[in-house]
Amino acid sequence: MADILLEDLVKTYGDHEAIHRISCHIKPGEFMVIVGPSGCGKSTLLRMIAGLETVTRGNIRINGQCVNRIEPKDRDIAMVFQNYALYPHMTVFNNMAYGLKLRKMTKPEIQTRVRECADLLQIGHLLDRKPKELSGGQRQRVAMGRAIIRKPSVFLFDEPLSNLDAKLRQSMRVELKGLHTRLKTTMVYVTHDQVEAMTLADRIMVLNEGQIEQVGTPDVLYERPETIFTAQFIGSPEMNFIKARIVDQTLVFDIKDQGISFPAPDIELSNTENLICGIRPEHITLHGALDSGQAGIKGRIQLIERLGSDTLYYIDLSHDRRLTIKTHLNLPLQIHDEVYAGFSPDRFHLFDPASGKRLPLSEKIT
Amino acid sequence: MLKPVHFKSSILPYLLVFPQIIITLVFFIWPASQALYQSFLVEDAFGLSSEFVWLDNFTALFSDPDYLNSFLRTFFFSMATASLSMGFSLMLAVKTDRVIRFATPYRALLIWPYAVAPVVAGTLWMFMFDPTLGLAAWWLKTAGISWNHRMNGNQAMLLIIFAASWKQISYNFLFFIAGLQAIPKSLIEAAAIDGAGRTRQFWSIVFPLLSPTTFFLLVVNVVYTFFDTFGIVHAVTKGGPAGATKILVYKVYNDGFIGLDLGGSAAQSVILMIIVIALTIIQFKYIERRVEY
Ligand SMILES: Nc1ncnc2c1ncn2[C@@H]1O[C@H](COP(=O)(O)OP(=O)(O)OP(=O)(O)O)[C@@H](O)[C@H]1O
Ligand SMILES: [Mg+2]
Repeated sequence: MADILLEDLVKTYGDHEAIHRISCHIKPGEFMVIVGPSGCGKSTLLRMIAGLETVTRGNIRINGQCVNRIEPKDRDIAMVFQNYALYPHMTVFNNMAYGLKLRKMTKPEIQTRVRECADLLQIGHLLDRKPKELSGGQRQRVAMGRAIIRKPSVFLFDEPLSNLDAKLRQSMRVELKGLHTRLKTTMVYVTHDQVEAMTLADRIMVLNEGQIEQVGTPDVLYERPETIFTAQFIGSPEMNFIKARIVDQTLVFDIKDQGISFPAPDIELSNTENLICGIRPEHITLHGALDSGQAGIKGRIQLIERLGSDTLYYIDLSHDRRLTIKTHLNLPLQIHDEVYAGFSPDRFHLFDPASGKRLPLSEKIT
Repeated sequence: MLKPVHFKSSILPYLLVFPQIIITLVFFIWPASQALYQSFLVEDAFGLSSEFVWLDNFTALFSDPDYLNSFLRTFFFSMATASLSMGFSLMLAVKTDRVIRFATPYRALLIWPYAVAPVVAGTLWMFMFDPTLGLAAWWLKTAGISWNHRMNGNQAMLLIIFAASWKQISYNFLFFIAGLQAIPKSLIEAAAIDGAGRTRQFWSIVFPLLSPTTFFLLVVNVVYTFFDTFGIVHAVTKGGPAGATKILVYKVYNDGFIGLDLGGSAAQSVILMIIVIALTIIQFKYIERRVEY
């Protein structure tokens, strides 16, 4: 077990800055998931921790020791690559034993270690095969085996499940989580899949264009996204964003011809005209008709997606606005029906569109 | 991937390959069949009549110690040239691959020797090592080594090995570079994390993965040394001194055009041809079998 400290980390390629001043402390035994859209610098950051990319500025400390100038092999880490990077000319056994041989372990020791590890990952029957004779999922396991066999103090994963089909990905996810509970080793895991991030992570680091948007537990990221970017990135389907303003202590949705307002507390805001209100699809209710006294926004069902347990309704409001609503209720509604969306203000997230930051106000809405 | 192309007219494809077929027929099939035919004949000293002698030319060759000697010499020359040239190219390729992965101008420079005709390459080396005029010979002299490849058979052999290797370096280099770049970088990185240093990475990962390229080049180089080195030998040593550099392909010329033993010379070239065909077949078999991992 080791902790990793990133201090003001910067990486530039030529004059392109891929990582901007990242600071973060990854605790011993933590499962940290780095998530973000393609090209945001996830792999670069991971490869810097691995020692495969040089550090332009800042420090990386593993267990307190600055590793900026330490070779990958001396960092006591193991990495699983997206394409697995199994040695194609070696058998599964030799793939796993390679690192042990280089560490001058004796033959019988290697034998037992490989056996142990192969049993753990259920690849004992594959030891004599070459990588090309394995299925994608089996390769994945071997790659995992090659990493855990050395018992390093940090595991690094770069989108290890992205080449697997949905079903296999799901079961590998569960296994990976199980592995972490058993080994209790510090893991840093890169993915662009927010479901993977939410299910695996102790904490998630959301990365956007080389900068940290937010670091927090999955719950915090879901309940209290600090930026519009995080709010949009975490949660599936994506959060709804509605333009809003505050007038006379009420929050008014900026939807033409549809008056709906919620009480807002009296807090000084420099800008009350131009706000963004984020609402998760699962926090909107759907009604065929409104009861008296109930407030709602009128719209038309554009598309219905039935996912089994849940149903997604895509609602067309006037003037090109759309809402996504997720519900587990089985409503007798059809496409093109006129419906009303109901809101509960305590689930609102308010953002300032200029800075993209969360407004403190949003907790105070009752 | 080769894509099949469909032609509307049925003549066009034949027209397209026609020039190549003519060239093959005129410059390869016809002389080869002539050589085969000649190898069964014995001509009298004046070239007036010839007699069909079946395999006599061949049996004579294999009982001729001079020929067997030449065979051994060729084998040595071939192996030495192939290993020297390939070893050096591989070294260059590894360095280049590491330092300037995409610098094409540099790579373009390295291909130049390949465009040089064998005779010119040979002449170049001959002048450099000329015992009286050559710069390299003079350096060697100041270093206390007396160099005279006109007198010293070993030195003559060394010189043609150098010349032949030099010319082949760029070709080998290009293939090695291509081979190296086909190896996924992540494999090297995985090995680095697994604890392998540079040297270890090379021998346990890169070199084995490069083996298809290496094998391909080995065959190409051996074929080259057996077949294409006539110009070099002719320009540098003319087979001398005392036959020290008389490799098979030079002996074919020497016996045929200097010694005027057409039948024997033809038989030798037939044997050379068989060797090359055999090598090519091995090549194809092997390549087919392990074209990918
Ligand atoms: N070797 C390199 N040279 C120059 N630019 C690079 C290099 N490697 C990465 N970059 C740039 O750095 C940025 C971050 O790349 P990185 O590979 O870390 O993205 P990523 O988040 O892993 O994306 P993906 O999800 O697609 O893998 C990109 O803009 C990329 O173009
Ligand atoms: Mg990546």
